[in-house]
Amino acid sequence: MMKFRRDAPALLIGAVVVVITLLSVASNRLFSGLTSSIEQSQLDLMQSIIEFNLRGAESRALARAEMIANLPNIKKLFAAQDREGLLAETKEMFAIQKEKHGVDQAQFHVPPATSFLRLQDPAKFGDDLSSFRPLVVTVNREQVAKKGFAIARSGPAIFGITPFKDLQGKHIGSFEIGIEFGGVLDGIKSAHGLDSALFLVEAPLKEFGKGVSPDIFSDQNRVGKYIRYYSTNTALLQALIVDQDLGSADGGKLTREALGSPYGVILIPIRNGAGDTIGIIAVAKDFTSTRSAEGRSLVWQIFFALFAIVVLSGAILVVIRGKLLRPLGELSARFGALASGDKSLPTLDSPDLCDELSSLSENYEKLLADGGDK
Amino acid sequence: MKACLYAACCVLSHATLAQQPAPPPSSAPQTAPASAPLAVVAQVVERPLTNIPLDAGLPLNVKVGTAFNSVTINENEGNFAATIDLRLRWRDTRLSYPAGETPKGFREYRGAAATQRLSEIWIPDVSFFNSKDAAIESEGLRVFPDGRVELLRRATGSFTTPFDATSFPFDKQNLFVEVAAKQSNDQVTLIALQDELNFSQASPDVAIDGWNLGFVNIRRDSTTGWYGEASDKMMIGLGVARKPENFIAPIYIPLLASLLIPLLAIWMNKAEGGDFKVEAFELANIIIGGLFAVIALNFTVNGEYKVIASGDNSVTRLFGLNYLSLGVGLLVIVFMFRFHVLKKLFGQYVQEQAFIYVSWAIPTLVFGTAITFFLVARL
Repeated sequence: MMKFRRDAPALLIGAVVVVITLLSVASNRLFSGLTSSIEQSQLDLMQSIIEFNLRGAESRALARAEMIANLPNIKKLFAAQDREGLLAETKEMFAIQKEKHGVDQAQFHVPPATSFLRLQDPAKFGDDLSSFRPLVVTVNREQVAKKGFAIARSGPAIFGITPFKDLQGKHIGSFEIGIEFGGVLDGIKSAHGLDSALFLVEAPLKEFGKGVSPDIFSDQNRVGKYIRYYSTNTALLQALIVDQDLGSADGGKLTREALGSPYGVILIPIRNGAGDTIGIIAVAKDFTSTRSAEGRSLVWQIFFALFAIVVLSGAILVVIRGKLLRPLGELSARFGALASGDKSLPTLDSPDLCDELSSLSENYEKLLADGGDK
Repeated sequence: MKACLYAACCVLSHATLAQQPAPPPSSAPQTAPASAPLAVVAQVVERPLTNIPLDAGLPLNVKVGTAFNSVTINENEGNFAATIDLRLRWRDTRLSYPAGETPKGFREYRGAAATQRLSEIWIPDVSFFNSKDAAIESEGLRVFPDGRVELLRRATGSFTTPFDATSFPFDKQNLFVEVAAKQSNDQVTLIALQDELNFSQASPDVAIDGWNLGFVNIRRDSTTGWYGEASDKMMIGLGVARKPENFIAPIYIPLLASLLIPLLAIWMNKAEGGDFKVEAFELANIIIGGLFAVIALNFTVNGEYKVIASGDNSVTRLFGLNYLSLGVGLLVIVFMFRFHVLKKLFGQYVQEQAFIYVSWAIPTLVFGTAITFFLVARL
């Protein structure tokens, strides 16, 4: 049997709870969507920052290579195949470039792709690069400048390779400048606060990068088939990136936690001139601010919903019970007593009653005055 | 004149330099080789070894790393005391020498020998930007055959660092050591490469009472000089996270307990037939007593934990909630219990129901708000 005292407020409060909960959930979904879209745009921005800087490094490498390859004295010495002369002419230039500008490789090649002089390692020359330096082969075949990433004998770098012509304009080989990844990633960290790491596929690094320090091939640096070659924050990237993350050669976007802080991570594949993936750059950004904002928003929304439910429930309870049910109960008790012949209960104060209940009270008063005879 | 035709090894005549081993390091003046062109000699003649090396042009890259050996946090003073190892590395080819001279691969100077050698050569003029009292305890110097120089300094001092207590007691801080170059950045550039990042760690023995250690991070910044010139500054920050459990007993339990005071004042009363059974002034006394208790607690916490006294955090919010609850409790006592405002306006049954309502609604809202503050700080 329905009890109005219990069921009416329950129905009204239930309706309030449902409406406020739905509004809160909808509002939270909207805010979550906003947060996700901010994080997505941050990840996109991270990717474009990395790509822009890598492209910039390629262009700087090529610009340097073209400038050097067009110096008449260099042309003369290379055309004369004067290795010693070339080294004497360029070694100090290379030392300064290496010290200050992150240029860690510079190499002259003769067609199709044979090393003539490595400024970073003058003692090693004469080896054929065609098996692992497709860009050098292409430059010498097509006689056009190219830029890109590669694992060279001295290690991985961002290369700009220019065809080399002698003073008569005859193609005699190529010259390349290689900029180290580390300097580029450090620059990105300085400018944008993004931590990053370069992971290289171990097999080609071992096979072709003969000049790479063997210390790099340690268990600490090994992540699946990759070697963590450079990192701007080793501890962080070690915590964020695991073997499975590097499984896809197409890169990807992840969110991970390290020491209780959420990070957005993007993985950008690094491909050589032949299109083979030689490594992956992982870039991480602390997402604490967006995640915290989302969490705080959820907590505040729950609190505001609770606040609204409590306040509206109070209004419902006080109005229905205080203005209607309690006076009605008192009147009912009086009518009941009167019906039983008990005339001892006094009438209710009219200020406590609404108009509708006042008329009932007046009727009780009349019945009481009539002695309950009618 | 101190005869000094300092080192032809210096500067510019690079090819000559590379082919001829540099003379052994010495404070004695050195002369340019006879074969050096006069123009070059003219440029190098007045450049003692204590002048900045110019052989690779300017600015000169100086690599900066800092390792933390011991750390004590004094957040009330806005600083931390630390013993750190500052490592500076640069290249000065004037100091190069034949590799065969050192089986170890480098020349090493320690103690007085290091001090003596450091007075003879150029070293980067850097300071701890955020410390007034950091003192160098010891220095070590290594000079490699190719002119690479590594200066290691152990220093102890207090370093000011900003403490942001917004997320207290779940806050994370960065304890920054700011290494600033005094020369402008067109002369000296401070950089940190992977070696510096690997060097810049907290020693495994470092433990900070009440804090968990996090990552060391390095970022580059700059300072502006009197004439608008910029100098580089490296900020090496040791991340630390506060252990929140240490603050539950001394701060949060008293704060939550004091929230009960105004609620008790409401719960103590009883409504019968539209009238209240406990005198309002007795309940008001509870509120006034509670007010003094909260004020005393506030003074105690502010005195003990200055970092949370100013600014917005869960503790200051809970104090605010305490004062608000006491105010609400007082309003209920005055308007409902003492002057029966609801009864006069809407009748005794409304007052009776309103009393029942506030008996559960106010505690619900007060503790709901307290939990919200706590969770917001946590996130």
